[in-house]
Amino acid sequence: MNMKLKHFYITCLISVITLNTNAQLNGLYSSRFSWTDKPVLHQMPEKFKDASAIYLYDNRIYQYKFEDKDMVQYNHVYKLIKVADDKGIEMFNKIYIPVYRNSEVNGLKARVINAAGKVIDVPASKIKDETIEGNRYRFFAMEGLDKGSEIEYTYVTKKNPSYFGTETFQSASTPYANVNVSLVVPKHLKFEAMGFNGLTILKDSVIDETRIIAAHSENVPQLENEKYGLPDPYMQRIDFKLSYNLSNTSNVKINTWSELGRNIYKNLTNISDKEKKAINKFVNAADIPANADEETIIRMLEDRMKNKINIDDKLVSEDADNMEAAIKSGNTDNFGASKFMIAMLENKGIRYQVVFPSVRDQLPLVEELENWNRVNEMLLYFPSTQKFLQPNAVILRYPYVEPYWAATRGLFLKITTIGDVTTAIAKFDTIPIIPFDQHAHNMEVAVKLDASGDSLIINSRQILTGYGSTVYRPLWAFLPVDKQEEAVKEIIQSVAKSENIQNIKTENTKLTDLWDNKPLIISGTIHTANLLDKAGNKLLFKIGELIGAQEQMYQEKPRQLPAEMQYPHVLYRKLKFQVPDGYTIKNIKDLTIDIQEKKDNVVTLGFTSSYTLTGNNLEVDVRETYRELKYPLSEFETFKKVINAAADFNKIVLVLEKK
Amino acid sequence: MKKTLPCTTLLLTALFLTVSYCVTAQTVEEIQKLYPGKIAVFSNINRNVDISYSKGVPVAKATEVSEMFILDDKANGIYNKDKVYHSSFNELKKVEAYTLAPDGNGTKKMKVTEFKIQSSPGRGIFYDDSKETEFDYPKIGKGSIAHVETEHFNKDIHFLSPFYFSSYLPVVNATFSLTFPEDMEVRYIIRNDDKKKITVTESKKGKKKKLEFSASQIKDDEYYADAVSHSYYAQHVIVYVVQYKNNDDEIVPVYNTVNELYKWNSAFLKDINTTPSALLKQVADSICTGKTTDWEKAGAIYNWVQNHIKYVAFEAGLEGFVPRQAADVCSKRYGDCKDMASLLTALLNTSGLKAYFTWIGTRSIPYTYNDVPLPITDNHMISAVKINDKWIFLDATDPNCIFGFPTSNIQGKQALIGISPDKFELVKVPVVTPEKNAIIDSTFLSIDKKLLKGFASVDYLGYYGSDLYTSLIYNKGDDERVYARRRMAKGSNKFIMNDYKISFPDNVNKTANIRSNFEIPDYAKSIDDEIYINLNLEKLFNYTPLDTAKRKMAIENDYLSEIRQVHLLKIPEGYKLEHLPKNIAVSNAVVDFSIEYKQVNDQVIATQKYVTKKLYIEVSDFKEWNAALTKISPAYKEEIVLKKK
Repeated sequence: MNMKLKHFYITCLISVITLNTNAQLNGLYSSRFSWTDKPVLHQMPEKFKDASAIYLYDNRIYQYKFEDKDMVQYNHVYKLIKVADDKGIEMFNKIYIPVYRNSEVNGLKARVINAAGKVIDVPASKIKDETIEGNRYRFFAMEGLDKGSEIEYTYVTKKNPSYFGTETFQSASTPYANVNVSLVVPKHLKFEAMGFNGLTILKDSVIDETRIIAAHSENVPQLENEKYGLPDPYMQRIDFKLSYNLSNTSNVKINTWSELGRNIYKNLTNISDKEKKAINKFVNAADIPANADEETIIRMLEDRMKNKINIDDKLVSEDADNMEAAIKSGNTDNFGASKFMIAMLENKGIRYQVVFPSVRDQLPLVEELENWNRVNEMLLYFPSTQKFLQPNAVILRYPYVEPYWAATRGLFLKITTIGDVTTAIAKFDTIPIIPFDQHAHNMEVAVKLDASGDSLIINSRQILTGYGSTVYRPLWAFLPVDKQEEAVKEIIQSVAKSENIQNIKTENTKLTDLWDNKPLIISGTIHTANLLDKAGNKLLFKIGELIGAQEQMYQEKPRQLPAEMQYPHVLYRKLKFQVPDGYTIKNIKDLTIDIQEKKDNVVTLGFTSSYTLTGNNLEVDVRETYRELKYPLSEFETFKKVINAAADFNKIVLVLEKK
Repeated sequence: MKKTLPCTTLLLTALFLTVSYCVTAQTVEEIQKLYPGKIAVFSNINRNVDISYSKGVPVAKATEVSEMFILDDKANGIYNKDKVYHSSFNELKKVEAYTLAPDGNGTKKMKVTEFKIQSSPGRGIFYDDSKETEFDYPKIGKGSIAHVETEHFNKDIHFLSPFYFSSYLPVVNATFSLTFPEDMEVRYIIRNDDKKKITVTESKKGKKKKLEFSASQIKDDEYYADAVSHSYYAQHVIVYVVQYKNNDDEIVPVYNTVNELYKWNSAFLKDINTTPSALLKQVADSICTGKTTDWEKAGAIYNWVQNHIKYVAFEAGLEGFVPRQAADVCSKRYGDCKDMASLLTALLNTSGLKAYFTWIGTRSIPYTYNDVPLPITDNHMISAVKINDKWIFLDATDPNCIFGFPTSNIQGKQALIGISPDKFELVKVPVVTPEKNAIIDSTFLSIDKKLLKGFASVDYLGYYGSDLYTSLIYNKGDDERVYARRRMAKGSNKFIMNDYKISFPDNVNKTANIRSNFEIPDYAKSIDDEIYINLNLEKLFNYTPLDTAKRKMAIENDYLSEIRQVHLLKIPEGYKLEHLPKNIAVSNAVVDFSIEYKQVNDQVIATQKYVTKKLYIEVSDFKEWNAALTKISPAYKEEIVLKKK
């Protein structure tokens, strides 16, 4: 979670008074943290006999207890890993243990039990402690590892308590044989926990003054990355949070979404008069016409902020969220960008809602379990236009937000004023994605043979709209001219490789062209011999290659995950070809492909190509449609067929024969 | 309080700033004219290294000022962040940064107040003491200047860094100067300055001498994925101390010829592997059981170290120079290159062979020890063993390098073999000849009801074989099949691999073979009574022409190689060969290439051969390369025609 959001809930439980007697937990610890003097090697579990490495045990006990009057959290971690081959050794011969902010890692022990059963300890002197890429770690190398070795390590992290958590027990590379996670908390604190994708939560048990929530899973396979697959939401995991403090008022739920909403809203709008003044000056300098409508104002404010302020979540700064400082330095971070945008909107009296999206390629926000830690990203929603804006997306403009942040659920904070008090009410709702027909990768291509008869002249126009354009527009926004030119050439070369490209023209290249979804057009004349083969006196024109290399799924491993697109879209291509005088096309019918999936008579998914031949003029109409985002495993075969149909078209070759 | 400041002071401050930073500087418009379309340039890069004595020992203080001049508002969001690197050998004593932002008619100085220090280990290194200090410039926009000045302290003058004049942005002015006591002898080497753009001036002030190197209007570096490293083509100056006088007025030699460098290097070895180890003896004996010749023993020891010691590098401070004791490496089962060299050398010596620690620069370093007798010439350590009067170079960091082969990244490089504390040999590592690194592909094709089917058997030899062995470490189970398909795929991405088999006919010489049955739908065109098929299912020499006007740096090949593909197509029953393309052959200094077609009974045989003859395709070779392409490209477009009888 964003550190900026964290500030305010560290303190929320200090008022609890309890007698936290030492509970009889020895059994639990000894069963989960067996660190015997004479460890015995394990067999590789039959189910994972081909794995390079496996977690035999991954046991985590999170204990919350009072020390003096302060609640402290101890995370006891124990891992036992077996490595079977060189790849496994390389995966686990270097161990990194995260050291969170304001925490300490104690009791760190690590050892190798090698294939001969010999125990080799990692000496404390060889454990390093460094900050790498912004995160602090203790790390060490495992000594004496060979194939068949086991790696065992344990440690306890002491930290300020966090009342929200997620533990994931699935990865792309390593299976888990046994997974145990327990929350050990004072009896009066009631946590809610949910297991996902196979992780089972057992019923709470109470031992003396201690409450235990345990979860378990076993034989968790690897979940690999697949084309069009988003694995994170499908990982086995537990989410938990503190929901009731029974020593106070037992039936009042705490740490709710509404509470989070109120807190964040307060934090986002907490700005001083000096900051307001600075924002006012910044807004005035935007020269927004007096009669501008709300949408125009939103657009102009966003564009001004994103042009003038460098938004960088890795900014080295402690006061990035102070608006006056941000204006002065021209720098802020993600949270600061949201705060900045909101301050400008408030300045202009524009109504908005703050929205936390359940980002589709990350672990989801779960409505029923208020895990505040999952709230990472922020959007703004405008009730008057029913559109969204993403403050930290430097390359996007209203109403576009990152595609994985749309077509999902989100937590909306609706701002209400009761009397003098303005606050926010939190409610889940849908964040729609801009419809499929707004996102196009279209092309218009006209091809003819040049005078020599050996090469082609191709007039190419690539027409990109919506999300189809957003990957390219940053070229003009951020690159020097020579690099822009190189990049544009490369884009044109996706139609046909050539060093000889003339009449290059680009239209609607500004980031703000997204406001009205003006098509980004990249055109040029390509001279190339590349798409022509010769077979004796026949010419073979590789017309299919004009649409560029296509993703294919001809031969895949068994599918684990449903297919999910980044954004729904269309690809309409018009290919014209002037058949050279004196030639006929022998296999024109090869151009016809028709694969479509319909729901209620509407094409949801399809690839079709058809042609007309008028005199010497061949016109091929190629339409590829992905109207929906998600294709469950039951529809995966159709999805694959459409993907492969495009790849098949790419291989079509027209045979031209002299009459 | 600010309000009460007299206006004159403010004005003066503004004037002072304007005067000191802008009088000599050019305006945005002037610079834009020089560098059209650029977003930013370095208007100034200025480094001074001042060597002085501390208690009779020379130490160096490096002061560097760098100013980035922003020409376009686009720079905001791109060039805000900056980093300064340092380590225990190169301590950062001071860093100051600010932006001079345009303000009315003058400028406003905005200081950077927050810096973040964190670890910054080198590539592939597990732990060292390299650090980075990171910060963000305020107000990056057109007309602003991002200024950073640093002071580094080198307590050991053995580690003076070279100075590079070019950068990722154009550099308007770059100056490097070295001041040093008059009784000290200093030498310099200028690299890659054929056009003599670097001006050198020597001067003297008081008891100090000064050497100054400057250049102006240096183009920004171009980057190509296949290019040689930066030091092969970028202008730079290397400086080093030859000797100095200590407090007792004695002359202390530092660097001069390879002798001095070797003396310094070999001092790091003085305590290494000096006592016999029972563990090493036991390991060496068990590896060499049944091996009779030196060649067999050395091969077995090399393979053992390759297979049992994993690359994990701890390189803090002197750890970067001193190998660890062989027995420790042996029991820990990991180490860096020096540690592996230590273990190899010790095991070989224990087994009665003559093996030695050997320093070497990988191919990313262009220098030889004779040209540049300094530590920057090497970055790697291996073991060299002499068998039958021939040096064999053993680098165990590659788990599948063939015994007898050098690793590909040290081919052609000069090795500094440490025979004894005062004796060394300089030996050039051989370049493995192309025919030893071969892919030999025999593919049998047939056409069955319009569908092209085939069986291919591909042998991988030399570096190709060892690369394949290494890939298979990481591709097991289902992934092995995916990997095999990727290796075998030809014709189009519709290549469907059926059954396959990977075998290892000779795992000493790391040869491998993959064979598979496959089909490639839509590859052959069968129309009316004819079939068209391009028998170059893989286009081995398929490149875009090199831009001779623009590209000024050589292409680096990993190794010399030979690929031979034979495609045999069985003419389907009832068909005859109607058209067979012409043969072609190209042979020049860089490449041998040919396509040969023939008909033998009911088979059409197409043989494609491609030999890479140079490790470095120099800029002067580009013309020939492009000429070869011009000849080969049209040949790839020729298909054969089969016609119904």
